[in-house]
Amino acid sequence: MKTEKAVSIKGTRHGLIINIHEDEELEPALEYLDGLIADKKDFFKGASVSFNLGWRDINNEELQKFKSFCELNEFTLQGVISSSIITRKIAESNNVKAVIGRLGIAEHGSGALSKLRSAVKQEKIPFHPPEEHTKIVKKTLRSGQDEHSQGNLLLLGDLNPGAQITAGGDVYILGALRGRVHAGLGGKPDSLVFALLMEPAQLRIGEIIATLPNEKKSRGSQLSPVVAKLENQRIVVTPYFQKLR
Amino acid sequence: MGKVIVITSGKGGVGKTTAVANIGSGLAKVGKKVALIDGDIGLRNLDLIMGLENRIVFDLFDVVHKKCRSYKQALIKDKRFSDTLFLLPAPQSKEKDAVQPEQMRQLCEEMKTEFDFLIIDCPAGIEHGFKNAVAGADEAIIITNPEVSAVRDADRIIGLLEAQEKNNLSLIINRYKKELVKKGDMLSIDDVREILNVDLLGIVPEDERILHCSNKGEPAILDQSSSAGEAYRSIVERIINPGLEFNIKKEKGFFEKVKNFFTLKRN
Repeated sequence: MKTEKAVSIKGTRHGLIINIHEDEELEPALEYLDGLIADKKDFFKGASVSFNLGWRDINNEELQKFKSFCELNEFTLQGVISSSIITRKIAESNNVKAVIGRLGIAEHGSGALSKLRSAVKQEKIPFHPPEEHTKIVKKTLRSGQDEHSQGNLLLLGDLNPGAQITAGGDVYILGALRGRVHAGLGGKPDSLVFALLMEPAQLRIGEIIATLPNEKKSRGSQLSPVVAKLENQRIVVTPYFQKLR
Repeated sequence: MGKVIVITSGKGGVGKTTAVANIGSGLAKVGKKVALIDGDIGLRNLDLIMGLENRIVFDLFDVVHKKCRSYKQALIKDKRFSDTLFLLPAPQSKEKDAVQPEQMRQLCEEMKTEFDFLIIDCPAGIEHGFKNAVAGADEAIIITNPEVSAVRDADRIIGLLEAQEKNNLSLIINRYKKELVKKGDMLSIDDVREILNVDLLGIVPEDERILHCSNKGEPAILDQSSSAGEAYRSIVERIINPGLEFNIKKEKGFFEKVKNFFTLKRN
């Protein structure tokens, strides 16, 4: 990707947002920025700057580069916008404000900076390409309890009605699924939901929502392992053991 | 050293106060020294159900804020029992935050040296009133109806209790109607146990007699013609002798099934 396309500066009434596309290397990006600013130094002087990094993960060293960049150019580093929890943690541990941003650089705007003002600590579900790890939870989730994973989630227990699971990737429930599940939050289209008993109050994969028809639920709950997946924009549930026949 | 048992449910109107009155009376009847504590500040009902309301002088608020000498001054002795049943009423004109969980905990610590059982009536909800009522408790009995909202709320309550490391929990399914379960309009015992997964202490059937007893201020457990009263007698036996086999009395149908529920333990 051409650096000019990867890096852009947007002015908002709260300051400047510098967008750096996730695919771009940081060094050339910062060099390019230097170039951009060089001949307009007076114009930019003293500006408040936030870096929008999308889902890029950075380390301490890289954060220091941003800090130095700001110092050199006499900018105030307002903070970092990112949907990566790693990046936000690195920022915070270096006393730089961090705010959850949406997926990818394409979607940014002055709205992001106003979020910075409110020092967001809410548990907003970040849109993030799901990581390939699986969080394991070894208990039944009762009404009012929630669990979240950036990647997949394995529940060794039941998901009671009134309880909720959200995951960037798959959800595997070795028990009864009676609560609410939202899988594929990261936009992973082939996310699946597995359960030994599928009686969800609400099931979502990506953007598609499904719920059980309001007929009587199974009595004496016969365990019947199934997998729910997206097919042509619909959630389709198939018996897990079908293939073996 | 006495046991402190809180009777809670989450949902309102499922039968907590009735359970407190009946279990307390049952235990007192077999000679245990029992104090009932009404934790429902502002909406007290336990005194009414016990028929003791016109003898209230001091209440829980007065005790905790030292407006009377000690809890002994506030306790009302129930004359139907020989010095074995006492009631500490709640204030009617205060609000839930008039008392703090820590104060309740201290009061329970103090009172349990004198009594075999302290039974606390918990208000509906999960907020301050609930926190007060469970603060001093060693065990909890969860009351639910075989009905979706009640079970949902009971599940929430159990989650909150487990989070507080209160793991001595048992369940009473109240207002059970066999015909409705057969028709599929009411959750079955298995349905409820599947979700709540807590040891079952007893099943109390729907009983018109309960209304009559509330009006009279006479706990149903003292009424020989009340089926709910009979269920509570069994429950009291099981509290005194945990692990007791259920006594098969009447028609095989209902009680035979019920016996199985007590012997089957779901992990």
